[in-house]
Amino acid sequence: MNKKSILIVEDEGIIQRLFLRLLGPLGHGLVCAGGLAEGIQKMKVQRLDLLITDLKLPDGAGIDVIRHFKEKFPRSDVLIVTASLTPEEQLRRASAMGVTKYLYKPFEAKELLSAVRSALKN
Amino acid sequence: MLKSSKILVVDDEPGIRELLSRELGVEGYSVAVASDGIDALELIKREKYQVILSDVKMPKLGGIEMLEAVKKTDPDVEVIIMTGYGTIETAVEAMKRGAVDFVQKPFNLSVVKGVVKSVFERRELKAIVGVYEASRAIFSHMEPERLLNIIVNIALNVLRANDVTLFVVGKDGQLSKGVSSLEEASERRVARLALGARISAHFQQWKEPLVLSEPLAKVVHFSNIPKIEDIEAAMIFPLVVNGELLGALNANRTSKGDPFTAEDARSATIFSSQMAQAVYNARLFQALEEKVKKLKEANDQLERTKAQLLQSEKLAALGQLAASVAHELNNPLTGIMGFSQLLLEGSHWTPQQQEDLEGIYNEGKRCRGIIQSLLKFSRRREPKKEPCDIVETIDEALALIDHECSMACVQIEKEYPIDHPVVYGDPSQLQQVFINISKNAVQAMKAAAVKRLIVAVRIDGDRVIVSFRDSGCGIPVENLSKVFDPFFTTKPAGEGTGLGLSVSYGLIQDHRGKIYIDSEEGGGTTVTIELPIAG
Repeated sequence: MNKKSILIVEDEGIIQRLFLRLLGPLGHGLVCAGGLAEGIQKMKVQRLDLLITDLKLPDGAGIDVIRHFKEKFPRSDVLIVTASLTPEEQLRRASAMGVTKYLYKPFEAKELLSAVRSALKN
Repeated sequence: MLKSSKILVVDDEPGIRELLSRELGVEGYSVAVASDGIDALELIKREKYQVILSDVKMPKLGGIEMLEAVKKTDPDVEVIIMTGYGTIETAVEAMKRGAVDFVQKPFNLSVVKGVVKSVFERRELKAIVGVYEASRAIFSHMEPERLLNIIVNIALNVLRANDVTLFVVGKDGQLSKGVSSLEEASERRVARLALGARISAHFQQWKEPLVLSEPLAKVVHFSNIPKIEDIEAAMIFPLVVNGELLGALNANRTSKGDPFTAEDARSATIFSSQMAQAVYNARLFQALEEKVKKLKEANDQLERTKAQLLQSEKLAALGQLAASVAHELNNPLTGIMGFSQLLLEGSHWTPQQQEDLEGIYNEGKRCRGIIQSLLKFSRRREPKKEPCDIVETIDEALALIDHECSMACVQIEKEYPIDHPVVYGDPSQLQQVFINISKNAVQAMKAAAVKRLIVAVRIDGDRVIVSFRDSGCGIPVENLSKVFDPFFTTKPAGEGTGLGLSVSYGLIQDHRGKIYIDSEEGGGTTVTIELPIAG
């Protein structure tokens, strides 16, 4: 199997744990960051194939995480996992950066797995 | 040109007739003579005399008898009796029968002149008092329409005219509006009213009263007006207040031999100035009433807008609260649903435990559903606006709940205008509002004896007013201010979220409209929606 690396940017510990538990069985490398700064740090360390991020972070906006990620890994995909009431503005900017995959919290486990699989196929 | 006051001297002695004729003529009166009572009565039939100076003992018909006859036909003619020396009883007799004064023969000319003068002054005074009395009655009337009619009727009396027409200056600045004492639809009335334009022209130039002692038709100014040949004498007085022409009073006499005299002109002058003031006052009063009405309307509008604004603020605040609460709940829910799903993947649970885990997962989903509907309220989809026929939109909405209404035995009555107004709006959002309101109405009429919903559409200026009136239980006064609050509902638990009206409120706001409720407990409810007309 082609082992990929997934960066998960999520500030709530318990949701981080959920991601790890749900995605673990896929067999890919999982890296977690609790905010924008930590996220950017993790991007410097290794090659990343997928970014899963919320849009609201304690130390910045998910949009900025996406921007940095896209600059570093232009061919890697992004999956936004966000609560339902996200300002249209942000969604538009993300879309402008080429992000097409969204999941709304709370999501079904099946939905997450299928979205991740499809993102990693490319 | 004003005619002088007329005196008739009645005496069988030619010498007396000549003397009095000459002396009174010098005083400026116009004097005619008669030799006895019969002669006098003949003359009186043909012309009007203000004062009669008469002897008592005359052949054919004596003074007292003539006096009685005159008083029957022309009670306002004053009679002065000339009695012989030592016949005071006759004088008293005459006074009892209506004579105004007496002089004794042989008379002192200055005494006679004095008595005549005093009689004329008393007449004048009576006339003036009469005018003021009449005017007082008029000043209490403030509605312009009635006022004009009252003035015309009183003027007939005060000016002793056969017909009176009162003109007022209309919005065009001309004497266009007239009120006449003549009967409706008579040619003479039409002719009188037509005088208005000519009178207007006259007053623009001279602003002086017109007193005519020749038939009106002969005056060059008024020639070529049909059907005024019956006017033998006319007075036209301007009604002026503060230099502004408010109208004109036209009094006409149609009998021959009774022209308007200086006396009449004086009465008319006083009367006109009083009437001008009355008309002016009535106008001011009317303007004042208009202003008050407008102010009241503006105030009502302001109150409505204030209420709407308050409601909007409430909803905005609640919306924000709802959104942030929902948002906060989404993360924990992610955990609940996520972990319960993870656990459910395991295969080592007992059936009981499996069921328990599913319970957790399902309740999590249920929470998600509640949050979704909460967010629906706080997130408003931008309306996709297009021109909509409001009547068609309402009918479509009513069609959608037709089954529900017939099941509930609710009768729907529609009151639509012939021309359907068009508004700029999102038809499905508008239908959502109409359905919400109608459903509330059906609910309210559940226990009503009469189940009727009246849906009315009308146009008011640049707005469409749509109203839904039901015959249901009404809204108690303490709840009226809360009806548009989200989650406010009087329905039993589980029936409805209480979001319908608050969502409707928001939708109508997005359409730049207004929605408000009038209701009385036990007396039904009316929900009114105002929307701007497209274009």
